[in-house]
Amino acid sequence: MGLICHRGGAEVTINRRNNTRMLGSQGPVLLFAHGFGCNQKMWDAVTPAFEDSHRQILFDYVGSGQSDLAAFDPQRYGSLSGYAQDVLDVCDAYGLTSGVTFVGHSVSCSVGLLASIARPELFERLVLVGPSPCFLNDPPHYNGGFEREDLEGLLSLMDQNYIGWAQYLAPVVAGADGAGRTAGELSDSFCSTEPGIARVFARATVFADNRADLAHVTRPCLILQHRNDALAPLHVGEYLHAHLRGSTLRVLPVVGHCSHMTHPQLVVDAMRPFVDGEQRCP
Amino acid sequence: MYLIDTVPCPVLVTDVDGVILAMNGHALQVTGGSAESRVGQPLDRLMPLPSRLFLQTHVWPMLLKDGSVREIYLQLLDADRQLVPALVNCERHRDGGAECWVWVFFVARQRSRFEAELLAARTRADEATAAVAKREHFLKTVTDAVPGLVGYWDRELCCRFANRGYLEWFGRPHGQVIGAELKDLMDERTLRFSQPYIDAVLQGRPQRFERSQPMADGRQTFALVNYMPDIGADGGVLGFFVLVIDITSLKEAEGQLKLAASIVEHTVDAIMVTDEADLILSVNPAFTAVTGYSAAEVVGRHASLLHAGRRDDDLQAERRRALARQGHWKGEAWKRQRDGNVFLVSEDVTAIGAAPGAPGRRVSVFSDVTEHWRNNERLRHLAFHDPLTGLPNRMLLLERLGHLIDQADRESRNAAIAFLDLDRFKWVNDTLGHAMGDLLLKAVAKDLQALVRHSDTVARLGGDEFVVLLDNVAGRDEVETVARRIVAAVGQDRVVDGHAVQVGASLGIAMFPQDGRDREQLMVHADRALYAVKSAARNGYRFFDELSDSRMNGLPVVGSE
Repeated sequence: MGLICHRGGAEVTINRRNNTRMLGSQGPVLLFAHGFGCNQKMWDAVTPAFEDSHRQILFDYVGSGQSDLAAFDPQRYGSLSGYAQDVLDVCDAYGLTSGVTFVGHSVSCSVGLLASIARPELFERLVLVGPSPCFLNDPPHYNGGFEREDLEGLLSLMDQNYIGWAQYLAPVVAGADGAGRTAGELSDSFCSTEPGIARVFARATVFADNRADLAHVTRPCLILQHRNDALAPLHVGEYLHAHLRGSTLRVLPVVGHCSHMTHPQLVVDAMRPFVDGEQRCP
Repeated sequence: MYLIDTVPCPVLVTDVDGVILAMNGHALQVTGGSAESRVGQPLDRLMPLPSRLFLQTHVWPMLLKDGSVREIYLQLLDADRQLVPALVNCERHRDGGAECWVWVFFVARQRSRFEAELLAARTRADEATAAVAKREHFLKTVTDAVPGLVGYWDRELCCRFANRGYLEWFGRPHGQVIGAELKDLMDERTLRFSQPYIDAVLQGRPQRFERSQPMADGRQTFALVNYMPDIGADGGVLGFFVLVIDITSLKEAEGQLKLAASIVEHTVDAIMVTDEADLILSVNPAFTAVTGYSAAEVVGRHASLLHAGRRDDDLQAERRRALARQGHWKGEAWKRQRDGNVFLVSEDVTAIGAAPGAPGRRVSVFSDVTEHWRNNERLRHLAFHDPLTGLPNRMLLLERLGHLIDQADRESRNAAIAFLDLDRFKWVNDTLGHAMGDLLLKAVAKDLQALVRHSDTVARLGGDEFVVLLDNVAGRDEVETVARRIVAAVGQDRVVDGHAVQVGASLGIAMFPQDGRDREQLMVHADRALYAVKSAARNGYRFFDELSDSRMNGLPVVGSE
């Protein structure tokens, strides 16, 4: 996959690899990054609001949605920095060098922060929907909300749901040895067509701890915190606000983790002044 | 409410925030509690934490995106907080205007257990696959880091493994090399050359050979090739491993070394390599020719075995200093050959800087310059001596006189200079011939030398003029004794070449420091004293201070007659 590094040819390769899509043809760039086990479609309720004012770029991380599964490298995608590289690759494929507003959901928030540390000049600002820098508790310093066994339970649950797929079980039943990796027409459940890949993604994100990176973020962030979010509780949003210099915290009156899907208008209204540059870091 | 109670499995209705709007009896049977206590509570409460997380991270996004999910595996908590595995279907409904979500659960302990076993098996298989992948990755990383070509060919000569270097050599991507046949990958010449070794390794014998091989850029390289047979459990050869190392630079260096060694072997200069303590490490054949020592006799011994034993402490010290400071010394030194003969060498010593961790070396290149030195000495002798008598000439006399004055002055001692002229020499020359005259001069020179001390000087200025320098004389009496003996010796009857010859000697003497403190004054005064002898009586001597223009002018010449 070394070809990905080369400009020119890169656009085609990256665009296909990450299943990129651009809406609109003028205005500043909004780059939407999806969260856990899903794909770019989760932004469908938000993007119409910015159709006239922005160019909007959507993509799937390698291993998710309609991305090119052959490009999946367990080494690279075994940590969040691999996904941050996807973000930078997509920007490069569109020839972007500055002015990008990154909009991320859940684990993508950490991915976006890492990307902005790597290339601060590329990003104007970041919108973080339901972020958490670390799900694990680290008493007495930090309360991420979960113990390791909770998160292991989540991973196991993911596995058990993926096994519903005949293809995943077939090799075991047939007594074959390898993980016959096929990109056939499978259910779109959980937006991933490959359980092995989903597991790598899950492990990389669920156990990530990006607290130490927060101090290196230099771009202004808008934190959209859900009032009642089982995954990213209120105090986690407050922790981020305290540790991200120049950040703004908005608490949305939302139950759950997916306000951009359940209450898109709230998200749009909160984003609007920030992405229009009216609400800058103090 | 009535409707969901007719469904024969647990059913729940929630709003978009997951707050329970209704539950049927089967649901309450699983979860315990009353409808009143459950309604209005979040659905989350019925589940253990991992399931709640899964609900938030996966199920709700799916539901919101697609409007339904099928056969999602979740866990519920029963009245005793025990886990109840369940498969869930959920669908969005519009109840009048409000949106609601209907959740149907299939409690499936049996199926879950079966699936859990399958999952465990699958997990083990995945782990095994991952371990293999990890090993392969490790192997690939290691072999790619090897600065050479690493590969594996099976019995049919199909490539099964090639590291990056091998791929680059073939100039083809991984996909075109793995599985391809050797004959399609390797150029014909290299293949033809390697064929016998390939045949041999397939018989189970490891092979190691060198070959020249062309590179993609046209460069011709030298390679050291290793073939290792891969022997299976049944003893048969399954294939072979290849390790090819580029030894071009080694080959070139080897050529350079051979050339250097050949120069060392054949040069006419003696070469001696020592360590920093001057222990001899190696010598070349010219060394043996020059010193008479064979290599075996000197290696391991101290270089001082060549020292001539002359007092050359200063020279050695200077040599050490120069080597330490500039790493180089060039000069001449006396050395001793094996047979004891002392000879002069022109030597060029270079200290080869010690690399960190490696001892320093000194390379001494020298040649015998004794003959050259002797020739120089001869020329020097000619320049400063009278060819007829071998006595110092005027030039050397002046030098010695200057030297004598300096020394006598410094040490407050007396010295004398005597000008000597032969009486009747012209007669001998004119009547018996120049040859006879020359013989006479030689005889006189010999006599004069016999009369003075080694530290004194007898010189011939030309013709029949001689000068005698007497160093460190006690006083006038001593000089007078010598003068008297000279007059007597020169004036003796002698037979030269069968002819009886008799000449006389006239001496004019000047004393240092009384009669002069520099060369010119002493010589002029000695000459004046001689002139006085000649003009008076000849054949005698006179001191300058006896002359009329000195205090004692007018005194008679002291003669031998």
